[in-house]
Amino acid sequence: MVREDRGAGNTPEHGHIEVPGARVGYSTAGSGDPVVMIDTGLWTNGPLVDALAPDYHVVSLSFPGISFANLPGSLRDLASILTLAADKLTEGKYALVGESVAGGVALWQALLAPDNIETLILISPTTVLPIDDPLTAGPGQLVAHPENDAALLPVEPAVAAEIRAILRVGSRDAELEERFGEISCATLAVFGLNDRIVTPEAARLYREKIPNCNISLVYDAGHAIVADRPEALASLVTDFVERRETFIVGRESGLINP
Amino acid sequence: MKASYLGAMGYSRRDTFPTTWPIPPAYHDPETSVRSYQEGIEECEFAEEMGFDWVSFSEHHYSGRIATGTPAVMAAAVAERCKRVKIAMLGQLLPLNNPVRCAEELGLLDNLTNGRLIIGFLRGTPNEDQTYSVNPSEGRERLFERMDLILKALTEPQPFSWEGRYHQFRTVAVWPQPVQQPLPPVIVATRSDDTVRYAAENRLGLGVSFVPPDQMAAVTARYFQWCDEAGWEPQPDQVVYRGSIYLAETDKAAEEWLVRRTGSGPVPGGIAMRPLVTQAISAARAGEEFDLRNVLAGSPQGDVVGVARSLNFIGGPDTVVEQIKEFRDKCGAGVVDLFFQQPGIEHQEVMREIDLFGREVLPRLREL
Repeated sequence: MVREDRGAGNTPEHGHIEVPGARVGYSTAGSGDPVVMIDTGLWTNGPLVDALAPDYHVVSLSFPGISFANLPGSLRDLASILTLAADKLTEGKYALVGESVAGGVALWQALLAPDNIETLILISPTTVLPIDDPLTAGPGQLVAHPENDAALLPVEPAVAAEIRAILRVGSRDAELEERFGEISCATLAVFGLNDRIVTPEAARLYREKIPNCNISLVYDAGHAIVADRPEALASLVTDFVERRETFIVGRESGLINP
Repeated sequence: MKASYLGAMGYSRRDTFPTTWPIPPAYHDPETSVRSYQEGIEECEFAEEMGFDWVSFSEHHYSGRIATGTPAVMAAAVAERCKRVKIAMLGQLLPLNNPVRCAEELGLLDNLTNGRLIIGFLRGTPNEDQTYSVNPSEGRERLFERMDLILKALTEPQPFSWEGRYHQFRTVAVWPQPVQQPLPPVIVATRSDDTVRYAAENRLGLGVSFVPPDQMAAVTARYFQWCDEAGWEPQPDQVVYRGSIYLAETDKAAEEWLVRRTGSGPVPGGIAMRPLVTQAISAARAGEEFDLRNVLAGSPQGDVVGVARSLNFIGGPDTVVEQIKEFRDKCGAGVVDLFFQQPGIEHQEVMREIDLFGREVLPRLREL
């Protein structure tokens, strides 16, 4: 069922997995407790994967590398498919990372599989209060600094249309929003302070509606936080994956001269 | 126009006070110091009585000229004595301070004053950076991050974490939040283009200090243009000029005072600083690169000697009105924040000036 391109240490690096209704492409890196990332394919998450891989088994389920026998009827249906894929690729509970337009499906996964998901991390989720569509954003729109556009990945219009349809971009999922309160895992919603795709003021809605949700604002970052502030995002995410709610407790020493 | 009294709280005996930075603490006499603050508070109260609109406080360190290293403490004390005037924090030196602490002080002050707070953001000069051992070459970046963080801390209703370049706060939840919603008026004190643009793009006011009207006009012209591009028009209260003043009954009396002052100790105007400090400030304002790491503002011996700035407003009431009017006409200034405590001017003389300003100048500013 799994076609594996094995890398060092017999760790599959790229492959695809068949689950009912879909063929899901994935990549993996590192070893340890599992972290599942739902990538939109809008930009490379290399810095984030590199930061996590030394300590975690990172499994990336990436659009547009997911094909379906039939287009899922809803975001919830898509979440069921991705949950099956994640279950097959991981052992035990995992941290789930959903970015941008994949935030909604990650939220549904947290609702559908609460026993599987240890932590939920939403990076620039467009689920509520979106301003624009990142799949059609022009140059410089996804980043705080135009020079960071280089970190973005080109998305062909046809592919963008496919992703838009699969992830229901632009459609409000009222049922999902109503059920935010049922999400029980430790949750982190991260927004760039200069995001032009979704207002960072949306952060407070997640905090208000999801019982165990922390929100984080990344200074000097746009929608593609990993492009503008890769180190900051990597530090934040790895810290939250490791410590969950206790990530708010400082542990850096202020000692200068012992 | 409106007038603001700068509550400098300068140490008395200004006639003999050295123009060095830092002032050696050995100069401090407790009795004189206590009296100085009491006199300074009386001046603020009298300024309110005579019709001033704001009383302002400014953070400066290791100096008896403007002796408010912790301006929030001073503002709180004056706010209990002055019940009408706006309390203007013009302002905190953001590169030096913990921004969450700044936001907490501002939130509390707006509550203590029941919504009379005006917020000011300052970068400060290299000598100020030396106070808290802050790398001056990072001042600009620290300023920008801290402005963003303070604004967010004063407006965000939910606890948040902050991943900055200079700060990582995993829980920010400032209490109390300001009385004025969504935010008290904010003035960004600057002449640097990037910071002026920040003020315009964030719909904040602008403050300019101690320069002639033509120089301020060049700054405000760009500010107004960028405000227009950002789709808004500043109100008069959002353009503030801070200047030094000596007000006499007549022009002749003012000139005679100035002649007496010249060559007899500290000159009126600002604090003397080393030429290298002045060059660094000029370079920063021109947007030029300047290696700030070796800009020594003052040694422990306090051996600084430099050229102080001249007074911005001097003369009798008619002349001073015209001088202030020039800032309104050329620069669009709606508020003038005035520093009265010149070298050689003791408390009773300051009170006389406040009285004269209230009777002869302020009513005419109101008509502008």
